[in-house]
Amino acid sequence: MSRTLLAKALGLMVVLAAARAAQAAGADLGQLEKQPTNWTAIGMFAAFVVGTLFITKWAAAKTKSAADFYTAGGGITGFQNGMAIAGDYMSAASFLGISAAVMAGGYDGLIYSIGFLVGWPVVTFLLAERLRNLGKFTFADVAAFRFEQTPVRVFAASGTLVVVAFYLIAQMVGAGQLIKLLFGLEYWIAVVIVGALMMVYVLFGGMTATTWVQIIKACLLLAGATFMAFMVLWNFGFSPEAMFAKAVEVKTAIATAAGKPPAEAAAEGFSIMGPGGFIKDPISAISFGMALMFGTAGLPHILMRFFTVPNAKEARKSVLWATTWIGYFYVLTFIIGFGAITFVLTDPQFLDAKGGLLGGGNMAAVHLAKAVGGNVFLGFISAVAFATILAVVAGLT
Amino acid sequence: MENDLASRILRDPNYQTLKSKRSRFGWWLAAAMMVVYYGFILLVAFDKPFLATRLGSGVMTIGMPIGLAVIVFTIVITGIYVHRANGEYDRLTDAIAKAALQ
Repeated sequence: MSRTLLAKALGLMVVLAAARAAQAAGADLGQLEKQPTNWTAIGMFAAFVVGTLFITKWAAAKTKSAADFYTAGGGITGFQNGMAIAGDYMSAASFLGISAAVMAGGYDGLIYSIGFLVGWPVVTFLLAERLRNLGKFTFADVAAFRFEQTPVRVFAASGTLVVVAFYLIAQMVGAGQLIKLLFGLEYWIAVVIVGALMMVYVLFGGMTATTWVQIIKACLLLAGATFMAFMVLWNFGFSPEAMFAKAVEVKTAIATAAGKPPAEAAAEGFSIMGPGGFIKDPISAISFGMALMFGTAGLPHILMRFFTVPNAKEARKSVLWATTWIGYFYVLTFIIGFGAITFVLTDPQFLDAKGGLLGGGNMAAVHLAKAVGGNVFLGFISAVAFATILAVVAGLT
Repeated sequence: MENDLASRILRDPNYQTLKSKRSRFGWWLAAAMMVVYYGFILLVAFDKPFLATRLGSGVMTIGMPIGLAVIVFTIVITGIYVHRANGEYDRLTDAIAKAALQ
């Protein structure tokens, strides 16, 4: 049992670590200016919400038993489940946070992505089948199967509530801020909308609805990120070397403008091509690596997904699909981060008076969307980013 | 009846093979993943200049392909496990189920 709690605590550490990275990226979410109302983005988002509510209605009609509610009746195929797992993984923290971390620190962002990814196969090799073979729904069920019921349940419930509460608060604050920035709605309205939608999805649709919401979100996010990475690479004639060279040049210019002597500025510009920045000493590198790996391995909402497929074969296939999509996605966010250095940091329309990003450092991917795809694509990415938060929140509940 | 079935499965040599093979294979792969990942993290921790070594005359560093390789390795190792589990192990499982239910 203490292992569950440990895993959860580590999971929380991941969230905290991600939040810290976001802060390191220069985000100052507390003091966002309210933006003019963006109707394209609101329209896109409304379409997503209406679409997913229909799915919830359809899922509610199908949900008849506890098995249906918790595990979608085991009727999801391996590919679909893989997409849903990838959807759970690709949270706003990974999309906005990692692309922003790459924009700020270059290579360090890649270290984050790798840490998020590698916990995954370890779960598969050692945990997944054993969990599945027991045929229980939740982690608490599994622990209670082996140990005394009541204390385990109380402990698990408290642990889950604490972790989910922290996770939820972080996601909902993020959602509220994002809405304020993107759609120009008031903060409290945004939070109420997120909370209400999430309850509708979970209460009426159960696992079938949240799975489909995740699948749709994953498709949209992958499509959007692919388009952005494609546009970035296209601008450099599909040469990563040219993209990196330009990014180093931009970073060097920024350092020079900050009053650094040329040699130091050149070194700072080149520093994005190797590790440095936030992992400064060996001990923190190792503890960071462990936190990311075991934290990921313990995320309860992802372990749950092993039960939504009909048999072990499909469960394993879904893991392979999920790993493939997540790996691909992290490569995309890396390109997007470097794209943001070259397109966003050089364009005064995205910068405030002090040379920081409008809306805080986490908006790197959002600004890049506008730079490469114009206002419509900005709306699309904003809606996807928001839908991501919504879907992850619903998936957690 | 229930116990009888369980003990019949336990006595099946196929079951013993499956159990030891599968868990050994799982631990080996997990160990391989750990070695690759911690190798990478230890490089980050102890030898940053190596990862920042330039390849050729451009700005491309050796850390970029290494990082990409870790991602690709993760996908490949999962693929290997899934392939083997869905082929060999599932055949063994089926054989055990058939023998036990005769």
